Amino acid sequence: MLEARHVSKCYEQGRWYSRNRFRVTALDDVSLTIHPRSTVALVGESGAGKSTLGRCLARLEEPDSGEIRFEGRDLLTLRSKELFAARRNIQFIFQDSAMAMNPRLSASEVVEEPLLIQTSIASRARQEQAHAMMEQVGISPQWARRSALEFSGGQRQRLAIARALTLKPRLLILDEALSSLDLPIQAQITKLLLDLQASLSLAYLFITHDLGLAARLADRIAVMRAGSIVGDDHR
Amino acid sequence: MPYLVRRVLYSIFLLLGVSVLTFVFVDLAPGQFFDEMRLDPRISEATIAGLRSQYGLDLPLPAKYLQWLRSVAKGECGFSFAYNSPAAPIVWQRAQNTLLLTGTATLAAWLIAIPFGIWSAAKPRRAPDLLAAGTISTLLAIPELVLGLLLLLLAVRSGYFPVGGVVALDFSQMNFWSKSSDLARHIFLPGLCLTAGLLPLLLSHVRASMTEVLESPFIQATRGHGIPLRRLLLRHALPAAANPLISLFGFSLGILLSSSLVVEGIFGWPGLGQLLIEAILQRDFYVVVDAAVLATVFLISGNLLADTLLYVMDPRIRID
Repeated sequence: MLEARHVSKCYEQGRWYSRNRFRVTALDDVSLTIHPRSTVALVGESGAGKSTLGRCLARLEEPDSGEIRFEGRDLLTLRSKELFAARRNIQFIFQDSAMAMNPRLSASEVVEEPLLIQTSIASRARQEQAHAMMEQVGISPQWARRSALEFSGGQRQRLAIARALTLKPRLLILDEALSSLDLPIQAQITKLLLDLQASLSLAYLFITHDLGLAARLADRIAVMRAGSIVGDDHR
Repeated sequence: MPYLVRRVLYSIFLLLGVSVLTFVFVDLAPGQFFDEMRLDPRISEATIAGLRSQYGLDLPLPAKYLQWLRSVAKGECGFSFAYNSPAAPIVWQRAQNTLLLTGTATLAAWLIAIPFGIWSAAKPRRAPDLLAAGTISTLLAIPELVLGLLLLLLAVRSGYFPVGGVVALDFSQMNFWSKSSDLARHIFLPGLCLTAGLLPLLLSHVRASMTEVLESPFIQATRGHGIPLRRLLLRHALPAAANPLISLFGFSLGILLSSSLVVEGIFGWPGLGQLLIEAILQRDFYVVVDAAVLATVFLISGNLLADTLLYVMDPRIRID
């Protein structure tokens, strides 16, 4: 379904006129394949390039070189309209759900936001879809008008999952999405993700440094170090 | 107590406090308006004492303050010894001239800073960003006085821009378009000088706020849904970046009466700044107090407006 080939990404550090200017290689010729309905865990120490790879796959960052093919089409060469349509299929969930939600929006508006951007469905229908999705992740629609900031960490992460799923994506990239939650909540969200995967035929890319979690959830574990994938365990 | 009521009450107390302190400090300054008369041997001490008594300058400070408060309630705000009339109309007329100049310059600075700041933040390390950084550094490095003198030189050499005054002498006989053109030519150079002074402050704040917000995860999340750049910048990033900018907007309104002292002096603009300097030199007690208190009223009102706008626009403040 998704195939990244020879993806590289460097960051320039320092101003253009600075003597101490240098380049940091975040991704060095990385290749990774994710099959439909599979779960891949991307593990590695901090600074290994896991999040950069995830962000490049979701086109939140531009790689310097390489190919990212989704269902046969290279995401990096798509025109803006085609990319706009392709974004529905790949959604991203951030570690800090509080920071990843517009503090001015209510819970319902947060979940409706992708529909508002990607579709032209009427406001009422949009709201109904958002409420249905909230119910599916275990948040009562009667809390829909509350600010997202009023929810607990676990509830906010459920909201983030609801928001990501409203567009019915094929692939969900979770960047340390469970690491800030305590263990019982982590277990609840893990179960929710597995249930959703079964019912919605989703593929997951779990970016984590928690090997235990990766082993519990993933069909495959890819290990990153210093910008490269150094191990890819097909289980 | 509701947040806004509390803020208004604080503002009233603050204004009273500032007016008392202004009174005390102006009173502590050596010399009084009638002291120069002592140099004239034809004026007797008794006449001077009579004048001081007539204008209430011999009263103790608390009585003088209460007298001024009563006068404020009547809309006179004390008496100008130099102009021999109630102080309020004199101060207000000059304040209007200052507001015309600073209001135009502040509006122009914001109208440039917002789109330019957004544009530069949206293109980090590329041409718009470098242009904004260069503009900020250059304008910060040029003192207002030097820029004013350069612009004055331009006015003299070109002969197109008048130097001094708000309007031409035959302004009242002009038609609407000639009046507008005359006012614009008078205001252009001092306005440009003030705009150039304010622009780096506003531009650097807009740029910094937008840059910070554009890097935040919720903007990344919205980008991940495929939102077009213009909509992302204007509908999502700008409202989120607005809080420090609203505070700065309030501050920029607050300093409308006090920011143009130097520029008014260079360009001979008959505003409050020049009146204040004259009044200080002449020991025109109530005009000095009124000008200082009016500038404070603007500062407090600007901050109050900013607080109100923040309250209306940011749900987090309402929740608190």
